[in-house]
Amino acid sequence: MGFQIDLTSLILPDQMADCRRVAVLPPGTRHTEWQGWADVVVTGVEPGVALSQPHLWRSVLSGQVLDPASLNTFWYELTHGAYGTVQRAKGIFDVADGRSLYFDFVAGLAETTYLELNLPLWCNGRPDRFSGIEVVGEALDQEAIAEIIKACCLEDHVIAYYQQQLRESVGEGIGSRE
Amino acid sequence: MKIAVMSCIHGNYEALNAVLSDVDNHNVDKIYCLGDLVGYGPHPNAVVEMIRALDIPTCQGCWDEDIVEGLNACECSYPSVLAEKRGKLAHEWTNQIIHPEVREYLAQLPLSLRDDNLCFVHGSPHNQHEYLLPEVDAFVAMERVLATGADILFCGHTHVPYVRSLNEGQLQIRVKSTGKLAEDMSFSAPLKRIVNAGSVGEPRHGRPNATYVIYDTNDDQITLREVEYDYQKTCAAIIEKGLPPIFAWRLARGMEFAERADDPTHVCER
Ligand SMILES: [Zn+2]
Ligand SMILES: [Zn+2]
Repeated sequence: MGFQIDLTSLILPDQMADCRRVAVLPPGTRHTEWQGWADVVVTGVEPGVALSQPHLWRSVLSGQVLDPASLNTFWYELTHGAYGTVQRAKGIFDVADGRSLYFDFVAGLAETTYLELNLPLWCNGRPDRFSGIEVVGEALDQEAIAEIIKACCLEDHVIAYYQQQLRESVGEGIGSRE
Repeated sequence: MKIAVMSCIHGNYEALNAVLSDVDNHNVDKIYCLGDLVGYGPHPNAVVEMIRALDIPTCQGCWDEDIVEGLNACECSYPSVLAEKRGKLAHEWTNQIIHPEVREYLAQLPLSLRDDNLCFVHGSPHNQHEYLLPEVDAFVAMERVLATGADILFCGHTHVPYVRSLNEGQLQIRVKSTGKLAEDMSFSAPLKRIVNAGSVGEPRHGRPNATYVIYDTNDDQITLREVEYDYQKTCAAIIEKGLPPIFAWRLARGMEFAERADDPTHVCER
């Protein structure tokens, strides 16, 4: 859980009463509200980038479909400091070929590529499922980030064009199996 | 004779100055420029004025053409939707601040230049927008050089410098036209070279340094030059002039902003 979460808001459902609260904290964390809240404290790895004034920026993108090549450029720039220092970034994005992709970045850890989520290809209209982005960092140029994401998003007629192709190729796939 | 060849200055006056000083230090007899004087960078007018003042023979680049004719680049020029939007921003900005006489100068630039057995073009002999990447099929590459009748084809546009030797070899082709029997032909192609001069003002080789080439006709040597310059000055000017700050960020890292075709074999039909 991130630093932005209000601990008093964490109310567990009754049927989950038989559980333990586990907090994963950076090395050297002492006397914080987390210690009081958790039953077990696990010491995690040192953050790759220390932030003096951590800031969280997030945006829900559900319904948006992104151009994959633009998304790659954006993700590279974001995680290499073009829009401020980034310690952690996560995103779920719907892309033009119908897939839902999961991006995960931790400063200081080996670069990871995206993961394809095990969800059906979305090939009819704007996706009615969650997508969004969350960035933890410092001195983030939120306006620029939002603007770039907007520039990566496809317009309705482009989405329709890709989905038409997608439906055709999926249709062919079914046909050839018969 | 020593010939310096430069390309893709893209309005980066600082980089151009540094390259010209480096050229001065190498007793060069003649300079050729392969175009893209404007686009992306903050000083398009100053760059063109300098090239004109030094009377450097220059051929027209894709950006020079677009500033004269209006945006004409085929979508293949842009690797992504984002790159296309950024390219358009740069185009609009340049289009607004460019002086009328600069536009006139860009309009009259030739598409290719010849000097004895050397040919100079921006992208390829077919088109300013076509990318002759080093991995282009050898047959296509050879065809492009043979089309010029020259022994060395100098080009730019990809922003990454390289020298490619197309060794002499036997080419077999089969010509089949409708209603006729296929005809086999074979001919031997002599040694040809493609030399890409890289980019002065918008490099894409992972470092901010400007690149250009020197060709020495006496010993037939080609030297790729990489020149450091005060790129921070250009970055500051990009931001000060109101161009997108991401252009400065990418320039400082030797990452081009937009121009690149994803498919190296794609032949632009325009
Ligand atoms: Zn160029
Ligand atoms: Zn070009």
